[in-house]
Amino acid sequence: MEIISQDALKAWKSVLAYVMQHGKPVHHRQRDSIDCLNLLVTVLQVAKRIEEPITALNSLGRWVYPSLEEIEECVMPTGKTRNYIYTYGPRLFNVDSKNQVDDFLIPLLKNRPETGRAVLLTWDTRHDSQASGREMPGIVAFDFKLREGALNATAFIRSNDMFFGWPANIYQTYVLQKYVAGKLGARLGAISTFSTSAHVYDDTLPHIKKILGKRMKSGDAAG
Amino acid sequence: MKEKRSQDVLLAFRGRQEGMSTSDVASVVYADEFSRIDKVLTSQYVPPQEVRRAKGMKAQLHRRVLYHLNRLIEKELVRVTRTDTSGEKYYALDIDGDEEIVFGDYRKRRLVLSKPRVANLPTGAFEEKKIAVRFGGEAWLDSANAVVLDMEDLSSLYRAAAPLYSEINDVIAVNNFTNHVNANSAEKLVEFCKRMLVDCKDFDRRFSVIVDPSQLSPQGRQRLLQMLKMNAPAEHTVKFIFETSTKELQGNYEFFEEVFNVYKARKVFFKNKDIVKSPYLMGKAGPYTFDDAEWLALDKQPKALVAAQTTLMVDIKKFCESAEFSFNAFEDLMHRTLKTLFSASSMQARRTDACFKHLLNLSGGRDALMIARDYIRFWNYDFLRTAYDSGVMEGVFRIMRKRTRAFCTSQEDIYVSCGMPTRFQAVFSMVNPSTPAGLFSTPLNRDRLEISSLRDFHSDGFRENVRSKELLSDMLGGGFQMTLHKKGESNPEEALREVNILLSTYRLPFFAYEADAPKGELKNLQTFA
Repeated sequence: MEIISQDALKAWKSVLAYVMQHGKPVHHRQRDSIDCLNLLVTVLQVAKRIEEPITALNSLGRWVYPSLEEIEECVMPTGKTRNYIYTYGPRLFNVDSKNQVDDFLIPLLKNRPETGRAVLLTWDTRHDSQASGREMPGIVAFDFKLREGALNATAFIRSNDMFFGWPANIYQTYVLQKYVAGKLGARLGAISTFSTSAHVYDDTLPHIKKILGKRMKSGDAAG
Repeated sequence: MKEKRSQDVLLAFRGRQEGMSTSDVASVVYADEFSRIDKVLTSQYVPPQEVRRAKGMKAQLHRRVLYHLNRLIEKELVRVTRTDTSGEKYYALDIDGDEEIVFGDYRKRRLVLSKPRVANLPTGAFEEKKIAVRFGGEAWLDSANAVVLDMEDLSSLYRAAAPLYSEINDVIAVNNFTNHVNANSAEKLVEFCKRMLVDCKDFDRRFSVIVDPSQLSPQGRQRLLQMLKMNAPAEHTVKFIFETSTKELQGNYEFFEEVFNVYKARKVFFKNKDIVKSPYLMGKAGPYTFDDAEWLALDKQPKALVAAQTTLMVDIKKFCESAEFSFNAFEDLMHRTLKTLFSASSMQARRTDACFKHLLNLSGGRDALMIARDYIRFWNYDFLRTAYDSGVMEGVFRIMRKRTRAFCTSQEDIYVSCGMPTRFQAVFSMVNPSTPAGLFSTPLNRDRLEISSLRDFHSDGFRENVRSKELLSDMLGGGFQMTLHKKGESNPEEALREVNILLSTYRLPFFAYEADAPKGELKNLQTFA
């Protein structure tokens, strides 16, 4: 299933409505949830209202959502990330002293703009491919495609809480996209997220309904 | 009249950092009316037409407030900060620094509204009223509250502890001190104790020493007693916490007799090993401990393990006296407290490298914080029992504990889903009753738990009192310390029996035993008239 939308807020609401309508029950992390497999979401105008899903979450006033600054820090190399069990920044910019972004991705795209190999991995098989491991990255890879001077970014997400997680994930992808595009001198293209498990938890359904208002029709899911 | 009401609306923002909704403003400006409306709307026994009337009145008050808010926006004194998904707007003052506001031409009223000084955290308004107080004041995020050290030798222990005074603002504790007692001479132990006493006084810190007497060698016992003799009369004492059980108390009878001989009228602290395994520490703010399950799950204790990161203290009596107590209002206070603690914890965690350099070195990384918790300490924690009854107090605490756990889990889930897995565990405890006067409301007159003889253990009054302490101990999982007072001078043999009864009969993980001061030793009496 693909959801295409002009802005992040519309995309998010469409995704939530779709998962609520079509999701199947699954018991996940000791909680009841409903999930859809292999959901592709594309936001066409990324600079427009990219943080609005986060603003909408904060407006409910019930919890402390990470600030934009915190979300940005966790994906970029300068992050103060001591508190987290894992975070994306070090896995992208400093794995065994290897900087995937500045030493591989950006030179590759500069030399071969049409390349299909511009992939960043956050999944580290040494730590993450263990049945008894603690927390492991939800976003397992990022892919970048330069088309007609615009940098398109895709995040591959193995397990995606679409209510709480997706707003931060799309913003993280945007931050990375902006960084790479800035180094390349490219425009910002679309952002896509491919969630192999796009789910929402049952205990968040009342809050999702507040976000969606009365908008629960399946026709809206096409964005 | 209209000018006065606009002024009231402006005053509603005094001390508020975060935006206020129309409802928030109306509930302040029309406090009495709102209180009456709230009673009707929350009551189960009011006829439907009364409920409809109350809703109509509420809507009318909203409209009145909106009129004034719009006027203030036109005058650029108030601004809209955001609109939530239901369309309700939030407002804040639109002024910088101190400013004079003059109303009307015929009557000048000097009104000073300044930018709120309290940091932009959800408990701001409560902190302004001193209902919520940060432990550590403005610098509360620069250090953690309590740490437990476990080092191999005494000299490395002192070297480890010394730099921690800038990273820990309340108590440093040493676990397994028995090993040091068994391995070092009496002189070295006394010297160590003296240095810690001086440091405690200089830095205004507390030091807890955790001792398991069942592990002491015969020589070790003598050395420890020498340490206790040196420590007992000191003003800023190092607190010795004896970990024991009913069986072990009886098996080390003579040693404990000596301990009571040395301590006389000073508190002797006990942790009941049969109930909990994790260590207890005693700080300025109050007792600290770990979650027992998390403690037991440790493969090996790191050299430094933080018990508490940040602490907010809540004055329940002051809260209840500021507005008539309602469960919803208390729930709101607790929710704000949790949000503040989480935000504070996040801010502190992002400065971990700068604030906890030494701690991290000691523990070899982030292990120092792996089972740390954030504390909500209650002052006059049993006010609800005295104002209402035990059932109300128990009910409120149980629900709040459940809500707290749910909030902590939600926060962890939210951050995991954002790709930022983090830990947040908040726990309840008590504020140290010997906290200096003036910071909080007047302490409640509580019945001391006191005995004259073993017979008193069987009185109904005593049993009821201890049961309430057991309940509080269960509710306040971050640590609750009760004291058994012995009327009359210390008698070691009786003290042992009395402590034994507490250990074997009641579910009290942590308590102190204190006898009256010996007759004739009134230190403040210099001469007879």
